[in-house]
Amino acid sequence: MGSLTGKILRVNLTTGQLHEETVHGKDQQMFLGGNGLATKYLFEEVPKGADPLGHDNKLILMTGPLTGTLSPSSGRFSAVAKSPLTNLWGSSNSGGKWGRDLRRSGFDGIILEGIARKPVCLLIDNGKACLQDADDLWGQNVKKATRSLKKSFGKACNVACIGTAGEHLVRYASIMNDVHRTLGRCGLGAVMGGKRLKAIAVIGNQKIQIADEEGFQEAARKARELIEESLLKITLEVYGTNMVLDLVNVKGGFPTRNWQSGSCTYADNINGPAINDKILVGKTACFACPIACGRLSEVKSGKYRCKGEGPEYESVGALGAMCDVKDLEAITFAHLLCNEYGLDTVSTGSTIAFTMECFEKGILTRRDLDGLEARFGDVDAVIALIHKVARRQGVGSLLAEGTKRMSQKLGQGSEAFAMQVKGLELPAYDCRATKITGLGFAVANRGGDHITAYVQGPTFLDIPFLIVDESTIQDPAVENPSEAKVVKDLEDALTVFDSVGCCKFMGMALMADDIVPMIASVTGRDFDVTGFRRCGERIVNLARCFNVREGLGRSDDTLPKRLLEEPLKDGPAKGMVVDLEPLLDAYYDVRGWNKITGKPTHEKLKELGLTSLITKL
Amino acid sequence: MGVLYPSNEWCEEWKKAINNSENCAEKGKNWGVGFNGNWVFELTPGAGLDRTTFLYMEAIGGKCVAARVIDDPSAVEAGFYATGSYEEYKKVVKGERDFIEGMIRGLFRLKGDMSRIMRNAQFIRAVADSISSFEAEYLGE
Repeated sequence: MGSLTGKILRVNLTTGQLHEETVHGKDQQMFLGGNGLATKYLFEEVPKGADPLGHDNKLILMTGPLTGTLSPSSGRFSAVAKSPLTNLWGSSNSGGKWGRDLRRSGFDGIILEGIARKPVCLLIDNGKACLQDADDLWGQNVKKATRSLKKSFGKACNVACIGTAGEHLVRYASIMNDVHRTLGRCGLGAVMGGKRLKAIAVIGNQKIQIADEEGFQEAARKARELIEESLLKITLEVYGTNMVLDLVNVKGGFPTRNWQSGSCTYADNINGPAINDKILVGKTACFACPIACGRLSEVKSGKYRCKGEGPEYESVGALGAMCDVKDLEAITFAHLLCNEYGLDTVSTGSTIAFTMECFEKGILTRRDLDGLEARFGDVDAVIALIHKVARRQGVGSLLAEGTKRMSQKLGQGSEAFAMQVKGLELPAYDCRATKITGLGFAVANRGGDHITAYVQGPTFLDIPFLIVDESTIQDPAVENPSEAKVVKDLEDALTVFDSVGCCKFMGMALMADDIVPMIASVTGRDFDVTGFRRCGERIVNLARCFNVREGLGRSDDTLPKRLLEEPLKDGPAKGMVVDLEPLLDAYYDVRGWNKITGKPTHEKLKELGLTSLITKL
Repeated sequence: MGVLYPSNEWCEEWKKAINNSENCAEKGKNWGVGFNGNWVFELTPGAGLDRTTFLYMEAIGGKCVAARVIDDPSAVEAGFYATGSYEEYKKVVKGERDFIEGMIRGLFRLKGDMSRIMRNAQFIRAVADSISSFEAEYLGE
């Protein structure tokens, strides 16, 4: 298969052995690459009940056939493991240039297994790989570790690493690449820390082979033109991902004070235009991206002095409004602190917001919080708690477990406002304002997640996804079971993006007919729109099967009690809750899953070529 | 001395501005081809405007065929409908507010085939930019 090298580097951290293996062509055909192929390995090699932080879990990083090519915005790669936060399928995806450099180094992916006896880093240099001692790097945060490795191996090396949070096995620790890009969700940084792997440094300057170079150049040129002319170019590029903030807030869906409210009064202080006016010093782009939605921000003076990439919308939501913090400079500082430590900003902010509500309700006291009064709006408390979480110091060790485990331990009704699904904290879109997005949260394989389906696009933003045939939502304030198909179709389409290495934002402006020729010409395989859709459905079902094998059932496809039973008290969505069950029934129908158990049926698995999974569930 | 916004005279100037714009012609060559590319702009009262006012604009292939004030939007066939306050629309006309920024701030609500907006956003911007090529006067000022 053109474009993919077909080579995987398998690293046994226990024995220190490394070897190359070849990907079967049939697996490439069925799962493409990225999170599809990685999930296939995960299902086959990680046994049921494996401890996510133990020897039997595997951390799999995988590029896709488009990664590192000139397909627009195709620098992306995926990481998959059993998540220490959810105990289920954990998947994360990142941009920047590290994925490109891994491909150029001669490998499509890396499978990391076992646990090193002491800290190590993995160096890959144009087809050659070795493990190096990393005792001196252990304890360094992201920037310092990256600098150290570049000093050792040259400026050309690109680094993916964990910070203190991953070393301390914080359940929502992230893996950072290109300093500020993140494999943010699901705690894969803790998996890497549990394996005592500090960093993966890649050096690559090999040419990426393309099966039909001329066909690919033409298809990529057309796709690039469509993106350049699109709404994405003049919104995302100008305002970054915070462009969505006002649109979400005016609909009453911007979670504020731990989702006690759906709108804040200070949106103008923290939205996209505010970033541009107050702190923006430049824009950044992932490899081959014509949009450049990344922000480079600087707070030049004062106690929140900092500089770096971001903050993205989710950070502003989680570390801002969820904690009722109105100060953009403080939010930016908190966001960059999370990046330095290697912490998922969504889970961090959400966990701190949960902590604040526990303090408000007297479930946690000043004494419990090491003398902190964690009140909503208290920036100093946010920052102090981030430091504690990253180092698992004092009460930080409790917060490091995430809201689900925290609420199970604390009880006293706190489970109702632990804003998580399957253990993964929810992002900044209140589904009481747009009901179908609640279905998206409830069923996403990795837990409370918006970008599995991103049905927030057609609902909150009124922006369609051209990658599916139909993404219109008639009235977002009403539960319409027939629209479960939109969620299913978006999940299937967007998971292909994670499998080929392309940014999901492209799915707003590109149709399937625009991206399929790029995949076909790069791989040299017959690939059409039907195959595109079928491949996505297959990968979603495969990940679902991993979860089912771990014991997941219908009862796990749910929402926090706050969203199901507590109407919003104010704002444009006042009085709303989500009636999930009819949506869930409809979703299982369109998925071909058993409505009682939530399991993919045998017929569906056979249809998708996943017959071998039937006996394993 | 500018033309009053909103008025039929203003609409006529806007039509000329669009048709004189090379940017509109280039970016809008596919606009309205195979779909209804006409617009109704609903201006809600305030800031000097004492009643809801509708402007209608017919556009195809990068050109404006007609533009005028209308009494009843149901009397025309438009593929796109944009609602906003007169106060905000004034800012766009004055060049103080980017129309696209207004959309993403939720200040203008759009109805219509958003996939066409997605694919032709540069034309939308070019049409909005063309407004700055002529002078206007405003109610309440």
